Amino acid sequence: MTPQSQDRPAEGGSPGEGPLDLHAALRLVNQAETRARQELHGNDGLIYLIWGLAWLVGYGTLHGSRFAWLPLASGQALAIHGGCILAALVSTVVLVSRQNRGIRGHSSYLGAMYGGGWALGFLTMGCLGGVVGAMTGDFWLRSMALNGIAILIVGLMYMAGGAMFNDRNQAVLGIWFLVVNIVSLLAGPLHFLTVLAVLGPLGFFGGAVAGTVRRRRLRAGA
Amino acid sequence: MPELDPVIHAESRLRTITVLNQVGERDKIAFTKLRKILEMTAGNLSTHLRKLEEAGYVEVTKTIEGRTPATYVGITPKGRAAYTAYRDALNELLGGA
Repeated sequence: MTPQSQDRPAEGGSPGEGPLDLHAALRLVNQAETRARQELHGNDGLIYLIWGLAWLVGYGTLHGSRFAWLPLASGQALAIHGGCILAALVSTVVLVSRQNRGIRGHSSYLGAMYGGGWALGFLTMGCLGGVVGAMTGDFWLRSMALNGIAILIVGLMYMAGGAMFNDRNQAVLGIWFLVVNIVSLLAGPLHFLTVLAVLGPLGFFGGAVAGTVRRRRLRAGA
Repeated sequence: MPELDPVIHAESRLRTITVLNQVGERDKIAFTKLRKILEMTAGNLSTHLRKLEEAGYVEVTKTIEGRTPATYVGITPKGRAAYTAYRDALNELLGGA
């Protein structure tokens, strides 16, 4: 029997719904899967783009202050950097909350644990900030140490997120940031900002491109 | 020759259970969000969910969020197995497409 000869109207379908043949059924399944993935998985590319811009402006400003191509004191540059990171953080929380609204169960638990991991990691870093500050009065050495801790948290959390959510892009970004962190620490207090201002945004923009390509592929498959 | 499950083999129910399968067995989706994804009216979706629920393929839970009543829907293990069997049968009938 050919597939066409198996084509049949839907039994028990709702009034107004036409007969459902096999090819139409397969098409419906593919379209519904694509739409569900788009709605449930959110826009990772946009989040990476936001963080790439925040790092570019934030670390760029610190770099400008350090090498005097911007007329800013180190404290002013640090305030701008902090503002950029805070803006990216708020945008991420809003986007992720909107994406996860209306879903509960195991993924909510994973999301809460993952979000809690980020919060506790950076709370620990804040406490360490005081300790590092007491150990050295050198602004740039202290900055290098604290950024090293922050990016270690970022890299490890991205790797964990990649494993938890089966997201290869996120896992690759985690590896990228851990490697960038090692390179920046080896570069030392004079050049670590150059490494972070260039390679950090590059990683995020790469993640944004990969996320956008994945989303477009999903849409094209509809 | 495999048979297609008549509970699933209807346009609206097929789309509904496909989305619920994507949500996963360990999660539930709000009725309002499911309705938005499927672009169906509340009445139409309720009718089809009732048929899927009667077959034991989905579980509908009513709860209170803040002060607002909310309805969540999730696929059951039986529903997931039925959906997998439906997909296999469909692929076989289409010659492994």
